[in-house]
Amino acid sequence: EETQPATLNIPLARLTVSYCRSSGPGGQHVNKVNTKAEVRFHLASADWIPEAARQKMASMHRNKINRAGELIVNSEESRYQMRNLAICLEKIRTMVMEATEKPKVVSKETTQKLIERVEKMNRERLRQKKIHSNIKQSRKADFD
Amino acid sequence: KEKRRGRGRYGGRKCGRGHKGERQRGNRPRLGFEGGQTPFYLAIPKYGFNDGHSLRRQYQPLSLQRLQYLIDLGRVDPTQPIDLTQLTNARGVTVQPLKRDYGVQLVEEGANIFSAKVNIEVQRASELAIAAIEKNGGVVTTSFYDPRSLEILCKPVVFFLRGQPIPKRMLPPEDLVRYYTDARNRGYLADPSKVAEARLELAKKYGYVLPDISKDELFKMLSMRKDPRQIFFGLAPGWIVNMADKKILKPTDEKLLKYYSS
Repeated sequence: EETQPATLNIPLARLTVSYCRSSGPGGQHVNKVNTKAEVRFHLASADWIPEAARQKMASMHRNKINRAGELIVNSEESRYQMRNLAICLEKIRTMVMEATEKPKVVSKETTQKLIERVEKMNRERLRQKKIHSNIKQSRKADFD
Repeated sequence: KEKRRGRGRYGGRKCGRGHKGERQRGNRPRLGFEGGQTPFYLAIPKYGFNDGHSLRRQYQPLSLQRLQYLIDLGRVDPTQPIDLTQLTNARGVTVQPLKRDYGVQLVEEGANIFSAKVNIEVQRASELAIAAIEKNGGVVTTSFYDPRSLEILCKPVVFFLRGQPIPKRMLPPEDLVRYYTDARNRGYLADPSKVAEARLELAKKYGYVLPDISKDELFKMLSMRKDPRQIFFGLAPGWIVNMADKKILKPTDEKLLKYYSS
């Protein structure tokens, strides 16, 4: 079941977006044009993210949260400001999705099935080994 | 005074030909010959990189930077719908219908600095370019022109002087139908409601607030669209434009009207 919509609706008014110059090679274009996009928002007060996801994000991405409690996401992969902003938003969406995913609950029947499978494989392997051993012994010429 | 052959120490004596041998005597082997070794252009095996290159559709790129430049200089009028005819008249792009060009494509080169509200119609557009135009409150449409219609669109006056009736624009071939019925590409055959949805989706993806064009003063101009069979904005297929007498002739025969309005 999906508790949130397929693509998370990020309220742009709650985010602080700033642009600055990117790093790396590129000559005059990289020196002058503001293409690096940085998005900040206060994580604890972001009510567009479910409470449990907020806690998880605070622990998963604690390296990206500053002293004031703002989560910072930046991107300088593309030549265009707009695309960098889109990449930032996509990163935020992935973070939220990772934080909301529940650990996979494997049912009892499935675990039992898997254990049975492993045991069966081992039994078969030992059976084949015994057969092979008999073949090799039957080739031995043991004259007592 | 005409240029005469050098006879002195500069340009004279050996005349830049070197000393003896094939070089001086003008008997060098053909281009690509490597003295008997299998030349590069024969050693490398053939591969179909250029197979069917003359059947491939080409689209002249139009960057947003160039478009902004043309608008700033006043060569293209943003208060009227921008069409291929407008771009050609402004000499913004040069399209060669005979060289398998099928129109113009929007490229996102100047997306950072683009700030013009326009109603533009091209043949292909990339996602970022569409987003950049819609962010500034404009409208993008992608439409198809078959080669004959494209030639008429690029050079209207020459066509009108021929005295032939304006033909109806053909529908796209099979492989392009999918492209032009997709709302994400803002195709002219796509569902308008789906186009509105796609606009919202793009705004969410690229992180900008979609400006409401219905409250705009130029809304009527921005929502001007061509009929799928129409080539020019004010003219319908079947009409003949008389340049000398400045008159337009429309067909009255029933069969012709039926044909041209299909």
